Amino acid sequence: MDLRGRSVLVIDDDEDLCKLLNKLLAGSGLNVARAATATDGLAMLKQKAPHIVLLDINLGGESGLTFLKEKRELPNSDFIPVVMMSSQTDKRLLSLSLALGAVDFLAKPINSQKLLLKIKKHMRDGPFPKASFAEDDNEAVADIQCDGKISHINEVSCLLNTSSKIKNGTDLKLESVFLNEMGLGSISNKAVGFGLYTSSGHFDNEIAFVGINEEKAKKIRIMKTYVKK
Amino acid sequence: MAKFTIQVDKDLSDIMPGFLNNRAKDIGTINANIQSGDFKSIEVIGHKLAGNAGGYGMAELGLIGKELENAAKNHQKSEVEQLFRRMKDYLSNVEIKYV
Repeated sequence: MDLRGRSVLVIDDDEDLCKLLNKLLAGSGLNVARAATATDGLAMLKQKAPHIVLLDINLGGESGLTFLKEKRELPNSDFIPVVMMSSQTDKRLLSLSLALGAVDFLAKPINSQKLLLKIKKHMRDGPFPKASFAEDDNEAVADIQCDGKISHINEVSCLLNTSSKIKNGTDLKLESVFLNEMGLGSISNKAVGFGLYTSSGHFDNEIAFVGINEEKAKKIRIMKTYVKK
Repeated sequence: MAKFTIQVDKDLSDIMPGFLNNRAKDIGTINANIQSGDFKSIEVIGHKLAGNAGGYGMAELGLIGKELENAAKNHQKSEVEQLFRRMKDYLSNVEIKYV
């Protein structure tokens, strides 16, 4: 995975560690933002959604768990993975972090190779050109680009396997050589139902072809017959 | 303790002086904290050392930090003083070679 241009929010009150992380992460092409407290981290998260958060458990006067709890209150914040960092080995704290939505744990002192491996493992596929959370009367909005695999197709829909769970009714633009060849490149798409979690850690999302005509549906039928033979 | 050399990634050469400068400040702070019996502040410094020193190639200093954190948490003054001496010795004698 190419990390260039993607963003990471580091929440840690240790200035020296943050300088070190900035060095390691920026060196891999990541854009690094830093917050020293859970409160500042949440404020930054609301302003601009990063691709991943690295969160210290012990934030001086505050706990990283506070951040996790508050983040859970933000609608649709699940798409931002949080990796905990700590030199503590308190299993209870780590279990609590995972229960509150953290996806992984990184032991301090930070090993640069493990750090990048975990970031690559958990970072979602694509950049978020636009993402905001619900506040007052405003709905949460996120424009997301992500990679996916089409695993099934029929005349009215396909099954798209992605790292993001796509909400029912979401409008999508699918860019696919396969769909272009099928004449479906320019058609509108809409998510139907809610993505189902799969054992691979991804989601199977059913995507409807809006306004498909008989000619294009026939192409799919012929293709399916050909593939079966 | 005799002088000793550690090897540090040359990419860290621009941030290492700042790290060492902050450790020099820690020495003064811990000294004052020992006098005043402020174990909580020593615990915080030890905790940060445990988390950051290893990343700067100073694994041993990180271990001292971890022990310092634990000793301060338990208000073990003589243990804290001994670890503080080890920390000062380490920082006085370490020589860095960027590779």
